[in-house]
Amino acid sequence: MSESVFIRLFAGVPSDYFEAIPLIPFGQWLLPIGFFLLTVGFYAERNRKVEIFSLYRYGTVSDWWTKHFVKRVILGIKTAMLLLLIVLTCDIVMGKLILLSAGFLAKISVLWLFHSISMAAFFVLLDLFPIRRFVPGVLFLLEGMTFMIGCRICAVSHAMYGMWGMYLRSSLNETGGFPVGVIIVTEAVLLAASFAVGREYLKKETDYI
Amino acid sequence: MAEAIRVENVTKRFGEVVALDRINISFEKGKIYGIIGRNGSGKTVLFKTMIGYLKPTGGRVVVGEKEIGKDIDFADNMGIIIENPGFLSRYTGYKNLEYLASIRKLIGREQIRESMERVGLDPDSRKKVGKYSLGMRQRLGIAQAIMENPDILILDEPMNGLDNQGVNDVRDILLGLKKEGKTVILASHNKEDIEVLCDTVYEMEHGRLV
Repeated sequence: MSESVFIRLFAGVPSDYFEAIPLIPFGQWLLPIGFFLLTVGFYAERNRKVEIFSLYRYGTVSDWWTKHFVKRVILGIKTAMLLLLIVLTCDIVMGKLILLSAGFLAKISVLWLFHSISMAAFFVLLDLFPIRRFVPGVLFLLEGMTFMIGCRICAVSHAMYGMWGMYLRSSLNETGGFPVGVIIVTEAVLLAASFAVGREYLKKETDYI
Repeated sequence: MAEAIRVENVTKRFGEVVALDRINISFEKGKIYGIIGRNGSGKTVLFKTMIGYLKPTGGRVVVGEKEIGKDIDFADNMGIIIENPGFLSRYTGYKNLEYLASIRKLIGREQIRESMERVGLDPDSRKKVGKYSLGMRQRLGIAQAIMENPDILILDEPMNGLDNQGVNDVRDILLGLKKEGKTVILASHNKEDIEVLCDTVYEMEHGRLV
């Protein structure tokens, strides 16, 4: 099971490490997150070039924000699914997934997907602010730092964002972990909050381009 | 003649810097207006304020009967070129225009093709915009500005990067649009463009009309 690339990249860091930060599993976890953020960032930068011609065509800023937000979150979902599929295909081709059940893979995928959606929503929101060029780095740090805090301080680990996409740190895993239902609802709330905060910010903004 | 845009006592500040200082201009329908001035004189800021991209610190911009930032965020009958035209470099020119046209959904393939042909670009070309010369990008910028048949055109340096033939083509297009009753407001460094095209010329200096 541990030889599966899919498990190593998407299931998260096992909880059987004490005190020390598990660098190799942690690095493997951050790898697809990094790819995800770079891809979403690449498309954000690409579309920004044409924004001067597209923004006024929406008629209102709130209409632009709604469509922009939805498009970018959908892009995030597509990117996350593509990453899952690519790695899954590699595993199948290499014959590493034969012993794993579809339900098990689905649980890992769903948790990772929900986590990616909330990250995509944060990305669109932060992209409105002057820090836009640093957004992939900021989110990468958020993921890494909150995971490390969760590893060090057990009492707060369930509340740490960096843990929330990890199957191996969830209540679905036999060793237990954060309550999956609560976390999925929380990530959905974060998605809605990102949209609402962006909309309110734009109402007060005076310079769009 | 009826007004297309009215700029009333508009001031725009960026911190301590006054980019526009109590600007008052009225643009009538069916005329071509030239805005001249050195770099940094406030032309682009004025254009962005008229479009709705920048909210004035004081004063107001009225397009038709509607006030920008109050009744509407952006005018629905405008076409613009501001700064160097930016496009999706991995798409063809046609695909770029199709993407932009898909936002308002006012026009179909035929009008997109027509606007490209009007500026001398081949809508069937498979050349990606990333391989376009500056002049071709500028032509594509003009095509996107005119494709939805807007009543008002705001063009910041539309002749940038164009060869003589391109300049003549764009002049003909703008004069044609004037005949159709469109209002064109353009900024140019080229005195000849201004002389040949414009009915009225305003000069800007340090954010003021002089």
